[in-house]
Amino acid sequence: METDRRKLLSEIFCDAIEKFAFMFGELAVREDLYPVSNEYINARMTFEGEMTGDIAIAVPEKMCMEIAANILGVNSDDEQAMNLAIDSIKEVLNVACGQVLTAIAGEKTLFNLSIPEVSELDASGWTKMLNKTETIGFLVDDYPVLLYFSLNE
Amino acid sequence: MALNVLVVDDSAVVRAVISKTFQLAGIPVGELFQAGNGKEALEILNNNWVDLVFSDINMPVMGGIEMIEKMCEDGLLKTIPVIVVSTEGSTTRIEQLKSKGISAYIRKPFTPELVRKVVDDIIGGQDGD
Repeated sequence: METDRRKLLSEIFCDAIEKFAFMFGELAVREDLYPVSNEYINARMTFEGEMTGDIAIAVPEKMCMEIAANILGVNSDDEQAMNLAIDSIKEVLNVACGQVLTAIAGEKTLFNLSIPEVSELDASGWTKMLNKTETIGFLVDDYPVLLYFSLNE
Repeated sequence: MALNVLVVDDSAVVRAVISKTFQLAGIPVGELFQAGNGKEALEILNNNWVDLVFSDINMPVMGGIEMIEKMCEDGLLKTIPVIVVSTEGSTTRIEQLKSKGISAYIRKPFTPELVRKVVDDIIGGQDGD
């Protein structure tokens, strides 16, 4: 992925997670992103329009609860945060996707977005995603996060 | 006057955030109805008095645009102000929605202050009619 697009995606993702989930992200070096557990959640959605492609975010399962807690203003062990954990990572992806597409394609371009879908990732799935050239790695409040963005150009 | 509000979004976390935003923004809410898609929303609208609808666009079963179109076909439902809350930033989409009669468009993420201003503009506008 070109450096300019990588930089743009990084800025947009960090801005989106800060504004929506009140968490702070920064680009991470590869050593910080190696899998340390077998429990990750991957949220993915596609877009169609002037450009087509897909975008995905993978995070440790525990982070989903923290995102939900931050969004809702409750503790991460709160029942509501636990119930809405998966929903919250889907929404982070949704917000990031909207912001990325506007930044890349301009404000007039119309896209049809799919509904975000989630799946579980184990350590090998995480490593596979980490190794893709379209993936950018972050540390968000010390949690490793992978952002994958691909255009069918 | 407390408003009966319907929040339509397939994301439970977004419905919870919007509900919380009403409290933070000091918007007086009477009954708060929630729907996970446009079809559920229309059922609620047909059976309850609702003053204001907050709706997402991109939802399973029935999306926001189809829901708005169906509301426009109904003499009573078409008078209910609809505020679209979405992640999409396309001005083309916003114009498309405005042509279908929506009252306002709020892009996620949003602040309580923005929601308050939008609601005030719509309800104030209605009061002045």
